[in-house]
Amino acid sequence: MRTTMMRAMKTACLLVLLVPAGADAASHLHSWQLENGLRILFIADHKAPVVTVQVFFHAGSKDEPANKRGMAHMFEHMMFKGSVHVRPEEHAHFISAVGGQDNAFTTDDLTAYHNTVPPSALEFTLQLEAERMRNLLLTQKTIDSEREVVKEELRLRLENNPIMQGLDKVLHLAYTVHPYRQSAIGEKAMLETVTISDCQKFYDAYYRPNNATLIVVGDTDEMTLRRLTEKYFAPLARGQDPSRTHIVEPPQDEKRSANLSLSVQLPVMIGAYHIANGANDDRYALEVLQQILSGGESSRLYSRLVRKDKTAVAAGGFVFDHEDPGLFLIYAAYLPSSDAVRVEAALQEEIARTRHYLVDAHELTKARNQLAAQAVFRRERVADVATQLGTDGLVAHNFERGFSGDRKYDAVTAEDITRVAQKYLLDSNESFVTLVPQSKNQPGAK
Amino acid sequence: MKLFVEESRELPLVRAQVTLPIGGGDDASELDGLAHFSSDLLARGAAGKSRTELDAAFDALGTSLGVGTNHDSSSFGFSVLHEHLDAAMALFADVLLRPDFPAKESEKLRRELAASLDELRDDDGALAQRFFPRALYGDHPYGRSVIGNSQTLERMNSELARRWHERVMVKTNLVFGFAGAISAAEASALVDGYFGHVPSHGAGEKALLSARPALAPKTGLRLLLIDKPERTQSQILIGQPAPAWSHPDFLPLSIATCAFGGTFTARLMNEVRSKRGLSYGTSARLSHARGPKALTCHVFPSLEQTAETLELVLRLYQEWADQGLRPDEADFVRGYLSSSFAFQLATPEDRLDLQLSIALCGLPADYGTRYAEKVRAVSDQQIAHAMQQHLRPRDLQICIVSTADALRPRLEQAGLKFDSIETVAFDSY
Repeated sequence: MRTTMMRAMKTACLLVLLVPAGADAASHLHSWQLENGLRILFIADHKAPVVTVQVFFHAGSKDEPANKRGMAHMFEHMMFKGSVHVRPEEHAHFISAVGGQDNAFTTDDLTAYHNTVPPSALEFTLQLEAERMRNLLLTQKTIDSEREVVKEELRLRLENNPIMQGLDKVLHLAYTVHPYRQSAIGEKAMLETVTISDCQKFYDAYYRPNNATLIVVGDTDEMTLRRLTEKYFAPLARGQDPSRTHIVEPPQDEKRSANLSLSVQLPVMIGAYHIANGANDDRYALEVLQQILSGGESSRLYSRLVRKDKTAVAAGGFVFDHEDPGLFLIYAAYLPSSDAVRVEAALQEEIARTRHYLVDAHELTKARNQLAAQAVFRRERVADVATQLGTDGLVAHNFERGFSGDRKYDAVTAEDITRVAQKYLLDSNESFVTLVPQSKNQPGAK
Repeated sequence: MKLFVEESRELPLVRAQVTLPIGGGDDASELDGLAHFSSDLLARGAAGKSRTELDAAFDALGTSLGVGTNHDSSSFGFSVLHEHLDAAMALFADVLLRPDFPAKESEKLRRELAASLDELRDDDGALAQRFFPRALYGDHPYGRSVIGNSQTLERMNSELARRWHERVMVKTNLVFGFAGAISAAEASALVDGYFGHVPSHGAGEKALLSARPALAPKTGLRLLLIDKPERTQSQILIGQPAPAWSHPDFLPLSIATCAFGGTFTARLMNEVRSKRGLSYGTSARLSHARGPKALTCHVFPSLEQTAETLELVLRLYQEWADQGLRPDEADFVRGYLSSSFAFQLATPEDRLDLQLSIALCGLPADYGTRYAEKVRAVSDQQIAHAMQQHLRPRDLQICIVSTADALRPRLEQAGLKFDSIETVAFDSY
């Protein structure tokens, strides 16, 4: 159940949390840049007759206008609605015709388009991606129909999903001014106001080769890829570098709490602590700490709340990393008959332990083993490797970050963990939301 | 015992799995959920080690034990770096062969499963999936709830689990699978070393591999409305019985189903999402199972557009059944299925999963290697024949999770006619 809940939260946030691959993959990473600024990353991988082509744009929901929240994600949908030489839906049709798979996702920091195809379809797939990078056709008809589709997605992911409503509330509590307070799915009322002109401006500002990274991993070779990218992407015009507004979230100096009364069967509480941005090296210690708190059923939160106290049915957390300062999240799903105050107290006690006492050597070794194994698991599929590269590049500003992960995790000490816990996991830095069944809502709830 | 090995030395990773051909469909109806409960309980105390000790031991090796139960089988497995394989196998054998069934853990598990039913009720999609099989299959083994229900979970205890384990954990039931950085010889030695002394119950064991009976046909358009308050969106499942995976019509029908709702540009997606924006997603799929299962369509429109969407999907279903596929649709899907199959076999674990599935569902061993060739060989006539034989657009089970008071007048206003309508509370099952 805890896995389900964590997966639901991560997926619905459209956030990709990938554990780094190993150093052997790094040695095979080739990167170069076209004159128009398009960055290209390539890893040859011949495990299976498959190649993945992914285009990452450095344009996420934090880059959309403040009164058009959800537009970056809605625009992602528009990228499948036809261009000068490709009719609406034909991109997906072509990819299916060769037996391939394609999709896209939008996060707070980036938008990515991915296709996984047989090597024989590599050239055509690159041609399709180059086509929609600059030749998109926007029409009122397709905007109107996709707006409805996106509203349905919002109903699915947010309105009818109590856990996501809880997470949405936490984001709104933790961030007072930064765009991360609103998840990428956006706001229905604002989506209604998105026009062709808005979409065209967004496209022209961000969907440029100099704001994109093309990542290819799979059963092909560098020479072929260099030739094909020159042919299809080099002719695309470089644009102006996008101007970005950097909004800084003011430091939080006291705990923020809220109760959310919903039609929910299983009450949930979610805590969020501000942490540094994705490029900060504290992230390694935070990830090891997260593993100690919630990696496996012998983890601290699970052992304490589910096993020992028997008040919760799931407990854990994850690092919600971003290009700008992100969050360290913890949660517990507890029995309706349990005392919510006691559950929250147990969560806080476990967090306090990490501030006050060094983790023991066994826990540290276990966490490192888990992270090392996960790193290998993530190298099984070419699509996962490419997505990790792209996400690390745009969130941590270091495409190769993942490849040095093993060494960085091994270098984390018990003292490092205490240091980051003392730095970030403070009561005054926490936002806390409790989802309670409607009939159980406490009087006086905020 | 059977052993399947998919060797690949690309990564230092090994997947180890044991599958038993006994699942939730084999539970007695008054003990729905027993296979699931018993499987889970195995890892909660074994060979004198407590659950906490077992979890800590698996976690320390960078792995965790996965347990899965469906109607036809129960599976146990883990993925681990090769350097930790032997230690993980020793724990694995403890869990599977020497479980202690501690009464305290049994009680905890019962509470956790009851809570997971509550969790499921917070997820409208999962809720629809829970009610749908019971409505479609009735008393058939596939109508059982794999996880059980509030009443049957009350009956679960460690003694029932112990008896289930004694009955099913016998030599002829064990199907081993290994994938990744391991040779057949190494896998065989591990199996012999750790599982060589599994008891054998003799000839009676084979009786456990029960054949799945035919489904009793139900007629008419039957609506089950699962009433949940304050929904702004409806989850809709529409389905009918379909042939087993091993049936000769399965492949032609799977081509027809894929053309209807199996890709991003299939008929359903095109008409429901692309043209009208009625739902974020919609699909049609054919279940792969040992026995006859279902052809199911899924769509999730807003409450306001539920009637319009349902009417559209039923009309498309009728047209599909009446008119069959266009030749270009059939060609497209043959190409798509034969080419995309390679993606389902991209990793050693994928290939192992396929081998295990076809073995447990009674398909020929060369199913995987000949799949693309077989798909390409399916004629338009075979597709038309399979559609004619199996599609029943006037005999469909419809399940909708929505707010009944808000939805009913909309369905009436749209003039939708059903042969039966039943409304149940979302937390009644």
